[in-house]
Amino acid sequence: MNILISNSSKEPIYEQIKRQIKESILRGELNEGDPLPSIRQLAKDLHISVITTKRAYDDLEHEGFLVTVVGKGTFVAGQNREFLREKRLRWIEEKLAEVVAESKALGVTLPELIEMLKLLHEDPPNG
Amino acid sequence: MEDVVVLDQVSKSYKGFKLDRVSFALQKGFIHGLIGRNGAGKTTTIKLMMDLVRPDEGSIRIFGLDNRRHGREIRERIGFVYADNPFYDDLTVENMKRVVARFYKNWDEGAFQRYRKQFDLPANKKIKHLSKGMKMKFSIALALSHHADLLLMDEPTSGLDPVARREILDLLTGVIQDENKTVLFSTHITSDLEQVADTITLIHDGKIRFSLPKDEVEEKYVLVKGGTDLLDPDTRRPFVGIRETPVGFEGLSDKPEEVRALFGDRAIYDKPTLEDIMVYTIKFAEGLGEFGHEEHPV
Amino acid sequence: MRSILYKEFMVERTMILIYAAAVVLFSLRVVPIFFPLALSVCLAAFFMFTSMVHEDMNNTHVLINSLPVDRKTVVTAKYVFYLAVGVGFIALDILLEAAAGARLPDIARQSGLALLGFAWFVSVFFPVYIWHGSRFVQIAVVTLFVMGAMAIPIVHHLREKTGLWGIPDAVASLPDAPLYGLAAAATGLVLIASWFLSVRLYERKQF
Repeated sequence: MNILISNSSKEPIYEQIKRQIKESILRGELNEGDPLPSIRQLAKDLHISVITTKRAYDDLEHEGFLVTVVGKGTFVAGQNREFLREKRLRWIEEKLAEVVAESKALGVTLPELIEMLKLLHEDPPNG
Repeated sequence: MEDVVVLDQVSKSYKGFKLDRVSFALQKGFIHGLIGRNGAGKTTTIKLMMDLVRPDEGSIRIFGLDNRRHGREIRERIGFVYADNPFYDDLTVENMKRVVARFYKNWDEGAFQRYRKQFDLPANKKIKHLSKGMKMKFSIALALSHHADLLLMDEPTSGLDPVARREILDLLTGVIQDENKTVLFSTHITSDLEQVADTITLIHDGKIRFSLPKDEVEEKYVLVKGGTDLLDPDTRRPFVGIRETPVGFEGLSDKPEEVRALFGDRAIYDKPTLEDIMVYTIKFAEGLGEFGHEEHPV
Repeated sequence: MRSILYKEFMVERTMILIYAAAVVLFSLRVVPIFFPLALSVCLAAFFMFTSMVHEDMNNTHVLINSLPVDRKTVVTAKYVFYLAVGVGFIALDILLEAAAGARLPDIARQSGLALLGFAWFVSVFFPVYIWHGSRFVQIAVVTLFVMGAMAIPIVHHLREKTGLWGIPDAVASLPDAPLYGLAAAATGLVLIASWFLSVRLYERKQF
């Protein structure tokens, strides 16, 4: 797993970490039971504060993505099928919301948008 | 999360300087940054913790013990680094180390030799012939070689080039991997803290201006840049300090929502560096909240 | 305490050797001198100064008091160390003089006086050093030396004139043992009082 932090981004650092870990899990790069680096090791590697990494991990644990076993470390939480699917659906919704906002700003109409969707859907995935 | 060091309403007066009812605590397991100008009280604070200097009022507890009555026990567990590296100049590195090592029950010669090699410290050179950077590294090696639970470091990176500074910072984050260890790092080189500090305490003129987790400090402030035409008595209010030039102004605000509401997208909003925050806060505290480029080039 | 003594030794060992060499030279009368014993005491005193200056240089007090050691131990170790050096120089002198054929009872009496003299010296100047630093002590001693030197002809003159009212003869006629016993006891008390004072002063010091 790679985590890349941008100091100049508007997004707070702990959010960047959360997002990237979530994406790794959702994409299947990280699987149930995989260990994550300790908060201190992560802080050292990323040159950020331990408090930041702790915050990210705590939030992710709250949201059900991670689980901490005392004395052992932090691991990717077991997701049941439904849960994972729901998470992924939610991710799609978020992305669609972004696209819609962008289109509106640009003045793209709904029919144009649907047309674009249709074309993308039919296209074979890029090799 | 326990507090390793607790200062409670500590005051100390010197001729021309006063530490005024200072209270703060250092949580175990973190690197705590202490920033401020030279003469603001950073060194005095550390000296108070080491019982080199006695407070006029207030109490200091380290590891839960009163630092005056249990000074010896406490100092057994403290590794210290001072900016001026007071050593016996005529002794060699090896001999000075021998002298210091005998004072500590938990002296770890293996650890010291590792650091000595890493820092390239010549064992048989007299201390007076070492460069400032070398003396500093020697201090650091000594401080890290007796399994100290608390590291008190007063400007430990001054006199070191950027590569050496990184080395030291990496060492410190390595130390903190053990969550039972704590570091207090006082400096005016804020960029060092940007990388490794977990909390930042700003001390100015004997008073603590803020003591917060680093993230909160950075999220609390915004650096605003805009045209000077945007400034009027109302829009100046949410700013800690403003620097005006003929080609625009730059200001630090601790009310990010308010300034965004005021200026919208007519201004640029940036994340301030610790240095920005320190400089603006201090200049404001000194009554120089607004300064034009002619008087005080930043 | 041992760690401090080790420190004193490591920091001062070169100086001690140099001063000891001087003691050797004087006691063997390589350098013609009247009272090598007195001179040994002076050397011990000068050694004390050098050591005090060493300590004040570079503010090493900050280093020592940052280590796990309490102020009382620091002071006590210094007393022990300086007294040991004094005793050492005196013993060295006696050995060499005896080897060179000096009379035992003479040396015994002189060394007793030398020891007491040195103990008084330490008792007086150590608290002063803690209170005002090595600079002050240097000036004080030089002043006293000069005053002493100026006093000698005056005392001599007085002696001619008044025989010092018979006091020295009266004292000399007193039995030795109790006199020395008394002197030793008094010196011991003064030394302890000095130690107490020094500890109090040093504990209150701020660096």
